[in-house]
Parts: sequence; C-alpha cells; structure tokens
Amino acid sequence: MISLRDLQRAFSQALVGTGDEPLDALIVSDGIPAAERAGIYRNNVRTTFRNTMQIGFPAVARLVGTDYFRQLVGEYQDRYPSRSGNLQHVGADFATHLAGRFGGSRFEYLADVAAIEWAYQEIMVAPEHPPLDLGSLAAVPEADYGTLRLRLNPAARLLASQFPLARIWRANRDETLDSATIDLGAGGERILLLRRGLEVEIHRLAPPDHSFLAALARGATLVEALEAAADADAKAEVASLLARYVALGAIVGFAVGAR
Amino acid sequence: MREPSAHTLGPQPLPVAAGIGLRAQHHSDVLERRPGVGWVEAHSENYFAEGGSQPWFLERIRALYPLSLHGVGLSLGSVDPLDARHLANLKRIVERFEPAVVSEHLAWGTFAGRAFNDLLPMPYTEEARRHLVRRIDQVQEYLGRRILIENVSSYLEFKCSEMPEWEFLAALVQESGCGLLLDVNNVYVSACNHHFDPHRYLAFLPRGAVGEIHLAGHSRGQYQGRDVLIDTHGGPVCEAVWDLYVAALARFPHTPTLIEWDTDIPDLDVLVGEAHRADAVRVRSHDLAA
Repeated sequence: MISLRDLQRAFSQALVGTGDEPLDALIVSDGIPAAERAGIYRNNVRTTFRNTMQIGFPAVARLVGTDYFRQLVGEYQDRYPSRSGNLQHVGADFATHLAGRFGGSRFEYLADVAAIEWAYQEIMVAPEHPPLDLGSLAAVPEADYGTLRLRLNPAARLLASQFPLARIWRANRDETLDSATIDLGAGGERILLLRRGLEVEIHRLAPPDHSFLAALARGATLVEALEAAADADAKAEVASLLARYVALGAIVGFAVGAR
Repeated sequence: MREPSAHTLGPQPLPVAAGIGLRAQHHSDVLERRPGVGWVEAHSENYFAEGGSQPWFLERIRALYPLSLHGVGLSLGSVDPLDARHLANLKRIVERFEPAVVSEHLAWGTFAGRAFNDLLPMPYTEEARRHLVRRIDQVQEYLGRRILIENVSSYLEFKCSEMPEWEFLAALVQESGCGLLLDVNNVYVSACNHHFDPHRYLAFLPRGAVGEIHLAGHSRGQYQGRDVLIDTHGGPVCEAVWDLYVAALARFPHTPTLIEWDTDIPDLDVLVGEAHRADAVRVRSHDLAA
C-alpha cells in the first residue's frame, strides 16, 4: 500500500507537470483517464493562482493584455510557486520575476509597475499605526541624537523608478479609465505610497526627500538620513524634512541607542 | 454616533436562520442595508490582515451578525507540518472576532512547502485517518476549541482507499471530537461523480455531529464524453441539492445553514434570496416532521 507521503508526492508532481509516475496506479479511472482527472485539479490550481494575480496586478495585466498576462503568470507560478495557504502572499516575487524576464528590454518598466502594485497590496493589509507626537521626539536629549532612529509607518512604501511610474500605474489600474499615451522617457519618479485610514495617497518625492526616507527605511540614524538627503541635493533645505514626514504620518516612531 | 465594536454581540451560537458567505464586494452593502439573514461566514484567510479594510469591515459586520470563520488554507490533510504562522494568524482572528464556529476542510493542499491553494482529495486509508485525527487534535488543542470539518467535492478517487468517505468522516468525529460541516452540494457532486447514494452518506454520519450545513451551486464539465460535476460556487443551488437538503434536515434538524457563492458573485439580494429559500425549506420540512 502506498503511504500518504508517497501519494501526496506523486500527485503533487502530477499537478506541476513533473511527474513521471503513471497515475493509473493511484487513481480510479472510471471511464476518464487518471491523468485527465488530475488535470481537473491542475487546472484549478492554475486558475486560482491566475485569478489572484489578476486581482493583485490589474495594471500589469492591462498593459500586457489578457493572453500574455496569462502566459507571464504561468511562467511566474512555475518559477515562484505559492508557499502559503494564504493567497495574500502570492505576488511577492512578481516584480523580481519580471525584472529578470524583461531587464534591458523596452518592457523593463513592467517590473516597476509590478513593484508598485505589490507595494499597494502590502500597505492595504498593513497594521494601523498612531501618529508620532513631535513633543515626545523633542524630549530626546541632544546627547542621544547620534543614535536616534526613526520608524516608518508600516503602511508606507518607497519606490524609485526611471519611468513615470505613478502616471503609468494610475492610468492602468482602473479598467474604466481610457488608456492614456504616456511617454516612457518622460523622466523617472520617486514615490511614497502611504495608507491613511483606508485611503492610499501617492506622494511624488524630490530626490533629497526620497534619500532621507529611504535611509530611514534602511535603519540609518536621523543624522545619517539627513546627510543622505544633503548628498542628494546640496542646496536642499533638509532641516524641515523630519517635521514634514512626521506631520504626513509617514514617520510614526523612534528609538534611541545601538541597533 | 458610536462605532459598533466587535463585542456588541459577544460569543453566541449560530442561529438556525440561514446565513450567507461574506465577500468583500458585499462589505459596504451588508453594513448599510443590514440584510435579514441569520449570520455570516467569512473565509478566515481573507481576514488575516492586521490592518486595512478587510478587518475594518469584519469588525463592524461582526457587531451586527453572529459569525462563522471558515478556513480554506490550513491543509489539514498534508503530510507537511502545519504552518505555524497560519495557525497563529487563525488564533489571532478567532480571539479578535469571537466566531460561533471555526471550520476547515477534509483536504490537503501543500507538499514539501509548495502550496496549491486548492482542496485536494484525501485517500481514505487507516494511515490518513490517524494522520487527520492527530492534526485535528493539534488544531483544537492550539485554538482551545472544537472545530468543524467539511467534506469537499472530489473529481477522483484513490485506489488505495479502504473505506468510503462517510465512514472516514464518522471515524474522525469519534476519535477527535471534531464536529462536521456538512456541505450538501459537495455530497451531491461527489455522489454523481463517483456513483454512490448520497442518502447512504447522510445516514451514516452521526446525529449531533453536524454543526453547520453548506449549500452552493456547481457546474458541469465534460471529460471523455462523461459528465463531471465541478464545485464552482458560481450559481444558484440546483433543485437536486435542495431535495438532498430536505433529507439532510430530516436527519440533522435545525442545523444552521449557509449559502456560499464565491465566483461570478451576484448582487447581495440574490444571495439573501437564496438564504430565505433555505429558511422556507427548513420551516416546511420541520413542519412536515412535526
């Protein structure tokens, strides 16, 4: 008698199309070949994954068209199969996959569109965080400034693209919008995506602002992050950055001391 | 106006009045129109998020309706170890939303870490029975409560099976103390696909074990010139399934019943209409029995 483990191994291989073991030994045919019966499940597995991706990446789907999206998602599923019973995690590597697939080609921007759509999915399920009280920050003794680190809102994501990413995303995420003609060479964008309440805001960032927040996201100290901002633009007014992004709700916490 | 809190209703059993499966498309409608259904059922995984609109809506809807949390991704039947993160998420939302019922499927869905996100059929062997009893024990122990196990639709049978599905389910109830979520549509679909008598299935399940009934629509596919019924949850409950529901109520009277609809999701009114039909069938069948 076949063990439960061997049965699940053989059936899994049949589902992903790598099985060489004949399924007839495992499955009652009853007029329909075993492989065809397994095929019903293989089709379900493909369809569920594809529908999840279609919901999560509507802009990529619209940009490449239904048929090609289907093909891309099929390749993606083979390369980065689901690892969780929760479908929420399914799109995590799509941008990486598209970057590898289209790097250097004229479709290079698709990876960035996938990245912003994944960022959107992530912040839509991120925990709420109360705003930071600037007064509590003012109480930090000056001697501790060197080790002061700020925490970004869990519902905030930073993106940087050499393409006009926010414009591409906004024009393509909603099927009811007319597709606009966007010049891919119109210049790059740095973006802060931030959920407040149930609404998502898109903020286009100047280079110093992006460098500042990106440094904080990497775990830099406030001093290091301000230096990064000044490096991005020596003429930038960096002194106001902290207050601006606390007020916006992008910075929600801080810690003092060694990491 | 005071915001409703999840604790307005407190924990309580599901009422016998039929419920509906809660889908994100209907969140606002349910809150605004407060349809006359007995309760709602949410797919557990859809509310694992720590923030955002899904838990926001469920908290408010939970203040108005009793709740059942129905899992689709725990993969109880897999030989892979249970996913600790998945279990922890489940426990967190059970504590937050205080459902009347927590349920999962008699199925497997992962192997060697790869997830298929589907309800794959079990072989009904002694080994599988022991495995599932251990897994159900593990989940019940972790959550500190009894869970219900749902029968799934299947499109194949494994040659190694040593007993029919109904005997397998009855054994799980006896050995793990779990309850059953009897999906009448799934019994019908599998009965047609594998040529067994669905009444025999119902008659074998222990009275008192069935804590919830599911009703849903299915579709029909053709393979090698033969019909195979596929569990799509994409349409109204068919007449044959309503008939089988009457038979199920005769054996398991006053069981809370849910209308499921997961693909091609219609207006809320259509779902509510199906729930009211289930209520009418239940009232009539109990009147006849009295």
